[in-house]
Amino acid sequence: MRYALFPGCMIPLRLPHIERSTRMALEALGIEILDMKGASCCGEPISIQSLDRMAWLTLAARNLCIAEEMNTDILTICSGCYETLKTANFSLRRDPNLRKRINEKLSAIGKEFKGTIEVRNLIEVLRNFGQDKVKAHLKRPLKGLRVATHPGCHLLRPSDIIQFDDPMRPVILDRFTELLGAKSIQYPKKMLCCGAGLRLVDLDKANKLVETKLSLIESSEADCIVVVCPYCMIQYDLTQRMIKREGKAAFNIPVLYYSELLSLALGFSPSEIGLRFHRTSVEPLLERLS
Amino acid sequence: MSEEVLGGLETLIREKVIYCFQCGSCVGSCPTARAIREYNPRRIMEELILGRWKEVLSGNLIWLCTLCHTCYEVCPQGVGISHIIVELRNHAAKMGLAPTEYLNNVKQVASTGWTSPLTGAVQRIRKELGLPEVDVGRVDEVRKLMELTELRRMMEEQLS
Repeated sequence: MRYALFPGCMIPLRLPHIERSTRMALEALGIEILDMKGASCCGEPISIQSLDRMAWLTLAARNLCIAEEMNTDILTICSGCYETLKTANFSLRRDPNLRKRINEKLSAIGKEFKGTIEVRNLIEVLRNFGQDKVKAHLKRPLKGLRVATHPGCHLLRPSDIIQFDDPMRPVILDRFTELLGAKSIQYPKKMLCCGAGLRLVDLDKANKLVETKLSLIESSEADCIVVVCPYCMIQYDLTQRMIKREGKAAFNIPVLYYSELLSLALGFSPSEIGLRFHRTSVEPLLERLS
Repeated sequence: MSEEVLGGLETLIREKVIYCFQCGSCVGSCPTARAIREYNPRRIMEELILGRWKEVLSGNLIWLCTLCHTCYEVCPQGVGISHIIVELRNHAAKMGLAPTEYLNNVKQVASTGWTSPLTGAVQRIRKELGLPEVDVGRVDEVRKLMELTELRRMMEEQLS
């Protein structure tokens, strides 16, 4: 199995430790990763989609063309990129007029969208690789760990385009958390958005949403939160520290990206995967695992 | 209001928004509505049906949606509310009403190809973690494509 890795903007430029654990975990499983030379921002699902949907799809199509030239499916580890690239791939395949209009623009840079590759997320890649095969590689199953999963929005919705899991009652991330030996716990308002999409225009209200989620997760006595999107990661990890500093509330809930949880179960050490770069301390989690 | 924006809005309402029967499923499931009392997607659909487009496009409410697409899923009429919000934002942006924060994001992408700057600190951390350098190779292609879209005019008019 091999994939063209599309890490997006936020992971390589703000949360590079997530890229590190993803690369290490996939290498350990024997899943080959190729870099996409000349790739850029996916197309940006919040600001660029909101300003000009045509520009959003055009920038996304340019990235899809790079993977088509490599003849390799894309693995993206950001849910925003996932929504963007998947929407462009879906819409350009289905709508010949749209495809023609966008290919006219792409011809200015010598590219053409052909619709020959698929866009995958990390959990999907692991599912296609095989649950049993992932399990066979585990060196340190996370026995007894209580995990609050936050699937987030764009891994699932809009479901007619994404077509990955149930858009309101998803199970796949929970299943892959339990595969690592942990317990995926239920908590109220699990499907409520983390609020990241509001950060640009109203940071206070964005924080209010994540505070609601953090307090419900805290009451459920979770050892950590697991996410699959860097924007959700920033909301839970960075904002948690911000609101603590401002003295509004004092949560101490470690936040892990799924590849970090997987890497720990595969036997990598916290320092190898850069867990020191988290803004909210992961110490309580590491103590729990020791 | 330009002919183009007006025509686009009429089509949007005739083909999609008109099916809204005001049940309120969208507002009941909306994360922004939990945090901001004034935000109500049902009311935005109502305003559109009643012809108060100008108020909707010039107000700030349409920019508060997180694009979580929950309303898109729960709507019994399949109105596709979050996608309607995107279309309304596209129309408002054409009228020069885009938030500066959004335009600054576009400017950042036009300058480096990515939404975040490549800082010395990040380069050091990447090196420490044994990660390859970030590719900033073909930002010329990104800029070229942006010039072929509405983004060019929006940035020129609003950020100058």
